[in-house]
Amino acid sequence: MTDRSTDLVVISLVCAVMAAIFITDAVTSLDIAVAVLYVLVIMIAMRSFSAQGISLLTLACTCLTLVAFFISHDNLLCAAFARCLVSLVAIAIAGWLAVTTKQFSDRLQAQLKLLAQTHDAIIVCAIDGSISGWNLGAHTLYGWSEGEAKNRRCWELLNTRSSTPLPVIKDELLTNGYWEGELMETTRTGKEVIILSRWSLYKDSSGRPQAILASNNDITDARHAEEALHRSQTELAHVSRLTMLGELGTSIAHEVNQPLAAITTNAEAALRWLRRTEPDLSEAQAAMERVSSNARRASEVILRIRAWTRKSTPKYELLDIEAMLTDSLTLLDREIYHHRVNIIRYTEGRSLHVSGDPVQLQQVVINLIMNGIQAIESADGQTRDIHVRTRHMDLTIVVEIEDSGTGIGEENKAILFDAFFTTKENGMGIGLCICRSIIEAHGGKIWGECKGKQGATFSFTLPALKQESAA
Amino acid sequence: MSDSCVFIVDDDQALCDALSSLLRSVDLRVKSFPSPQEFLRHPRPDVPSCLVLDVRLKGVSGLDFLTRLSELKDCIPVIVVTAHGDIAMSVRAMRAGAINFLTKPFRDQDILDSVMEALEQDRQRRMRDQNVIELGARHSSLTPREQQVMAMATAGRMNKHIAGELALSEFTVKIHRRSVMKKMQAKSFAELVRMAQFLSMHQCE
Repeated sequence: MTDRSTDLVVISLVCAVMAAIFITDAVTSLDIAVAVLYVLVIMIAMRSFSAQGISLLTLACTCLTLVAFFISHDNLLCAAFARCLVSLVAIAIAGWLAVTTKQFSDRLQAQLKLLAQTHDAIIVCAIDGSISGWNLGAHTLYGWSEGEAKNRRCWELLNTRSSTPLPVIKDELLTNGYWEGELMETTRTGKEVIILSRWSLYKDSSGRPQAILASNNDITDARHAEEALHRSQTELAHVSRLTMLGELGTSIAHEVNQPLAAITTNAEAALRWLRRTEPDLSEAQAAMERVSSNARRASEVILRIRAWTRKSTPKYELLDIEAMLTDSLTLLDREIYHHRVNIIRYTEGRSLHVSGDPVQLQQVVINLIMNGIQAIESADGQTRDIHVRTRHMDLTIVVEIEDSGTGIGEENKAILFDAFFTTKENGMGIGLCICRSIIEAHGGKIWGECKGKQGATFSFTLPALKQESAA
Repeated sequence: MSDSCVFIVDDDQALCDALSSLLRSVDLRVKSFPSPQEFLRHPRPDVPSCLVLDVRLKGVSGLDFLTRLSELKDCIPVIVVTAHGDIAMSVRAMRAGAINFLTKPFRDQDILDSVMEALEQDRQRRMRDQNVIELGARHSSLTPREQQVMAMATAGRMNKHIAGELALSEFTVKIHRRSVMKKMQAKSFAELVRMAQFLSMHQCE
């Protein structure tokens, strides 16, 4: 309403001034270019009139000047005519300038409005945090209006928390002039939001920091979706591990049973050595030592299986690839024996270290080798070999598992790692899909190809740890 | 029991050690091998012996090896042990000639009993073999006519029938019978009949 009334005042003022100038110009015969004063009218109108309005006003002023000239002067060729021309030129120039200025400021206004429309919450605050700018996005995100937020301490108002302490962030901002990171903040309604925040430092001409411009995005939903995805991936990996454990049941039973059998027999042997008429203590001692070492062996197997069944988020640790492969092959020992497959290992002889979750990586290896064994079984060929190669390549470690099985059909190459793709009669088609998500989560790549005449080669890479950090 | 020997074939060193200790504690001689090939390569002493064989071996299955042993006409009694036995496997083992099938972990008494039984069986087999050789030697010391008379007499034919069939006098048949009894070292005619049965059983084999 205030805008409307201001407009009315301006219009009436414009009309009054125009009328005054016209009367003075037409009635009085002063020897000055009164019509030049129309420039004033245009300048007054500039604030409220549109570019088109200003053009029309300029035209009107020109007409009034000409009308006043014809009313007050009969003779066209006189000094008054020259004055009239000067006035017309002045009005035209003023009009043109006013229109261009108006158009420019309109464009600027439009852009400003667009900026204000952005969903990003844009906050401008002083170095001490007192808020001086607060856009619509900030209002929508946090719930406080611009008026309510202004002059309050930004980080207190929003209860800003971060994994990096605030002073450290500020220090970084002051040194680099820029900071980007994630913050936890609380809205007016008390809702916790995760914010992706980009800060930049505004400095005055002498380079003194003046204000902080923060552009904030609410990534709570995206983060939650991401976490849900991770959770379901972990769960899927867990379920598939359990399935694999089921398939490996006999192997595992054997792994545990073997040391248990050794323990029982050793203990009974020890008792017999002791019960002899002349107890043989050294034999009994040797048997008891074997009891303890076999008990350790059994508990190691159980520990490995417990790790397999635990449903936990991946724990990344320093890992020797060779040891990881040996562990995986131990779990597969019986399958390998049962299907009469030969495992041939090739190593470079130096330790290859990565950062990874041992259980998940074992899962990948076991999955690939089980696939290899099954492929060999269905190919039913003469060679029953699986080659396991590890090597260093630039900054990555490559693990290659090559079987002599049925190989990969040309039509299946592209969809090998897709979920629910399977060539097995009762396969679920999630094994390779999980392998890929595990390897990618470790920052590596996995692929399958047919190298030789028969069989398939599955390879995966993992980023190598530098030797000094591995040591 | 120092005149016997127990062989163990198991690729799991821990189990070999345990079993070996258990058997040694009852004064048995024990020799263990990680693979069947090494067992076959090893010269065996000529004493009652038996083999404790694990089903699960690297390279060759224990059951296949058992079949191989019978193909080689190796009569050593075999006790099959396994960590994960099922009925099908035990049937296969027994049909392939195992004298017992034990599931790990086994009770010490069970394995010791089995081993003792196996050794006893081997001892008897060895004695039997010895008998066959001795009786065979005695039998071959008989003249062809005496062998004929022995075969017919132990089959229950009367002297006069034998005499009629062989165109001999009954008296001559009696002399042959006495000579047979003497050469075969039979104390009674009943013993001679048993000897004849024993010989016919083992010579056919």
